[in-house]
Amino acid sequence: MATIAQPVGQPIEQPGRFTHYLNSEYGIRSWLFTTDHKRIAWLYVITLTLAFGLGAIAAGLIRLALFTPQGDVVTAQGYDELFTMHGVIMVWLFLIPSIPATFGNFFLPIMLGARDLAFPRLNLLSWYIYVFGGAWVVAALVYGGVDTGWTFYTPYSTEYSHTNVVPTEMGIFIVGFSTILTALNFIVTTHRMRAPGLTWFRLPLFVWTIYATSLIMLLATPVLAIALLLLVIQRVWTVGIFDPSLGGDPLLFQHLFWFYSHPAVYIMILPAMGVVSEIIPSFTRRPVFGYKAVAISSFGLAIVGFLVWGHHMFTSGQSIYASMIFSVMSFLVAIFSAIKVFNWTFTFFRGSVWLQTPLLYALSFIGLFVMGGLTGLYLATLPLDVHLTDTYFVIAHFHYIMVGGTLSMYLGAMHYWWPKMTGRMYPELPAKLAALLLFAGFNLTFFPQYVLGALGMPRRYWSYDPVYQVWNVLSSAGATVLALGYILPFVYLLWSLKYGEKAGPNPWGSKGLEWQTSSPPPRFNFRATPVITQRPHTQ
Amino acid sequence: MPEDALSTPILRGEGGRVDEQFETVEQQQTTAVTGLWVFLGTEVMFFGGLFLAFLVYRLVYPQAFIEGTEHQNVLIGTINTIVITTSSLAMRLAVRAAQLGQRWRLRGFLVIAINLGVLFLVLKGVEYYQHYEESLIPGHAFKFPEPFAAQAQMYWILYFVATGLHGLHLLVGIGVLSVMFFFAMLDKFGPEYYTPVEVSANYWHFVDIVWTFLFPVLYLLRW
Amino acid sequence: MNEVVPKRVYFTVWIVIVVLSVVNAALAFVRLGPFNSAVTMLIAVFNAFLIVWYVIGVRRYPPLMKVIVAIGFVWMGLMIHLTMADYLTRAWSTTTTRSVTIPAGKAPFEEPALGSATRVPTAAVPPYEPTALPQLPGMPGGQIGVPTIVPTGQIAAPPARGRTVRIELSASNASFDKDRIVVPTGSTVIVRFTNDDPVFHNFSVYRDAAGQRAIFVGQAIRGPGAMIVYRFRAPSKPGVYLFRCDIHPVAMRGSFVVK
Repeated sequence: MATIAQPVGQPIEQPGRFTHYLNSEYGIRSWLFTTDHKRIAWLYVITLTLAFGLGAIAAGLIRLALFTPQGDVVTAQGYDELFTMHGVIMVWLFLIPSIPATFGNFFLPIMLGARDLAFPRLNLLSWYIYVFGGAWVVAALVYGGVDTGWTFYTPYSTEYSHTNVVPTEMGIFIVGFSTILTALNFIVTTHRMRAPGLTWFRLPLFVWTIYATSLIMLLATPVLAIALLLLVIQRVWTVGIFDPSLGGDPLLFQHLFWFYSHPAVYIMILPAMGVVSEIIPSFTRRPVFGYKAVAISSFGLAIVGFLVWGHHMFTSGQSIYASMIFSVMSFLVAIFSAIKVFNWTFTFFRGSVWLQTPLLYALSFIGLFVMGGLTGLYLATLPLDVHLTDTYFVIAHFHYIMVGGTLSMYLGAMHYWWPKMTGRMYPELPAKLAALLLFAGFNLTFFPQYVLGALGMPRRYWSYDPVYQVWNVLSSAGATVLALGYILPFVYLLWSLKYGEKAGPNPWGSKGLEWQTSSPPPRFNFRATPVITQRPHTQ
Repeated sequence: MPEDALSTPILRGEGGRVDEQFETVEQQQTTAVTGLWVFLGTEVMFFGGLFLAFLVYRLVYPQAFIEGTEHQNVLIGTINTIVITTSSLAMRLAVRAAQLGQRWRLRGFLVIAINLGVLFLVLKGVEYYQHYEESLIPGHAFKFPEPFAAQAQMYWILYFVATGLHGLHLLVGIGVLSVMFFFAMLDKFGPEYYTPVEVSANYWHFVDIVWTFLFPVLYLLRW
Repeated sequence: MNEVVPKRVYFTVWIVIVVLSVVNAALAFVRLGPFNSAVTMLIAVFNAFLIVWYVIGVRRYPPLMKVIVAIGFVWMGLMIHLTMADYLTRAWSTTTTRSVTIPAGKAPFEEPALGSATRVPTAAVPPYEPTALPQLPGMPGGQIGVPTIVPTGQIAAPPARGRTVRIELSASNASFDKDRIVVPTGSTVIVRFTNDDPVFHNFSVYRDAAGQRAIFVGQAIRGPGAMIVYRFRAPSKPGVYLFRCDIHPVAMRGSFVVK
């Protein structure tokens, strides 16, 4: 796609040592005070792995507790604190920053042909804010715990809960700044730092999705901030902003909260779609079918994502007329999702498919996302939602999108770009095995939850009617398979850092711009500014 | 930073004032201005949530909110509006002075802008003290004639949160402008390099715009 | 974005904003009917626009930058608009009868059985109770949080001896069409209340003029064109009582005469 132009300066070919961003400097200071977007991406990878580990442990304990109907492992209070911990950590400390802060950070400037992000120091600051806020949240959750669920619904969170609600909310408030600053950086970089010839409709699809994601982060996160701030003020100051007995309206909190938290789902899923749109052309040797439609549908999802938040409030006492509007608009989401899925599928047609691990992940994404997306239509249907709301059906739907979608593609992106980021290949056979384990384990864990939900098992209870036990045992068994699937990549990816075979600049033979530079890339990404003449992946 | 020639960026002239990730001065400048506007988009949504909360309760409790508004000192509010508008003007004239390379005017206008910002906060403090005297601080000491005490308290909570957050932004702005003044004393700015002044000015105008909405919403909706 | 703008542009904008702000503050003390809020907010928007367009100089920005400037404001509008879609339609779903057409000359509603909840007529009963209808301001008596109101639409007393009186009451332009209602002692009063205003009103009766001791507090409804039927028993002691709208207690009040 890109022709590297004649060097503008005089880059001197230095014989001897091959330098890149990993060996240009050494020492702990060179990492903690770096402004290199590629190193900051690695800092995020490390912290995100820790956060994911914590959230996953909470999830494992939840599944263990649900093995038996009467809940033998934890008390009711302990169970409430566990699912809150799982939700808060997974949503704010893992899923929101997952793909944008790591692969977005690493590859957005490279795909734009830029030397770095527009504000490199701000980028480092966002990581520090994330670590500080994240540590704050984790401390609040571990020492004392919170039992409101990740949604902090009033009046649970204002009158009835005597746990660490205020510290947790303040921690999330802080993490929000990290999100906003990262988004700001991405948007400005996309606008101002593109290489010569890189017009909007020559941008890689991953850049389109990261841009759309950043737009959501930027416009939604402040609303969460003000909602949490008002909640903290209400608790600390004991005044009644959302308290009905003092004249407040608890539904206002839900409006503000979901104005952020519904678009937040698109913050999580859009970058995953971007990764799919990069992997598929690389392994089918064709540009994505309907490039413009896929690019614009990312924007469509970002915008429509803001118009549907009321579907979380169908049974809350919201006006029935508003519910109707929100229900109808929720169906629009399906249009843009379907545009993407159909175009990805068409890309395989007459392509020369090379079934490597990243493509396995992309295929499993398409399957699981379609499953999660279609059950989303059930939930968007107003009368059906009244039956299904707050049951395990919702849990299963959400996890099909978030785990089957985002987390799958986080790992898919990890495998796809691993050679570029580290200069080493991962071992192919265990990688394929892990991908299959994850797919099987995931379905075993979450498909039974659809059944449970349809049968009427409510969410967020530590014990349940014994008639549901069979499905719960299946689900818990699936969780162990899933855990194996996560541990395996962790082991062999670490192993490959030292023992993996050296990857050339372009092991996949991809046409993407990021593959045109060396692996790992030099400190400023390219030896000379590239000039773009075509759409990405065009042969 | 020990870097070899292969990974060093190609710096283009401009006397080293261009950060390593940019190509030209102009790119750097437009990037900074864009960055601030993107940030202000976030700020608009932040205050937007607050305005939404105000609107909802204003619709539900019209009478109580009107009675709450009647305790406001419109005179001080109007004076403060003029103060902050004038400060905004001074700051824009400071940018103009920087563009034209007028060093002393730049410094002078910055001082005026900063001091008017401080004056705004002082007047706001006077108002807060009056509210304290009238027992209008929400919480246990809040006193308001029945039957609307609880509903009027909602007005006063939102009033204090909104003006408090605005004051916080103003305080940050005063800090930023002081840094600009410090650099202006060191003669860092001139016709070829004044982006930081312009970006700070845009932020300062935004704080003014927020007040442009807060003033009528909190003081003037009396019917 | 770089050219130097003549000083007079900035000074002109400054003068306009100062004058408009003072005018705006003065207008707040002049009654313009329903236009007060609209004029106040329009002036605010205009002032903000002047600052963005001329002082910051967005008029000289390239088109894409203008979009970036506008997007925060547009999104704020979206948020407010869709949230209002909830708040402004919430009352419809419980009490409105706008879709029910009643043949002329017939009794507009079935007489409700005493002792039963009589939210009549119910055009479309939603499958759930609204939990967060606006709390009524100025709840009479008792502590906030311990409402002493009679549940909406239920009778306040055991089944009555005595007569039943029907009263038609309507509200428009923030006033009732009656300032005096006369009923016999101990009678069952059925008030058919129509709200023609686009804001909330209700109908309540109190023992005292200050509105502290309630006899009956009706649920608020929002119009225009909304209707609700209240049913309660008049006091057995003759006298002049107060009726009013709890949301607009100063403008909307009258004598409730029992004899």
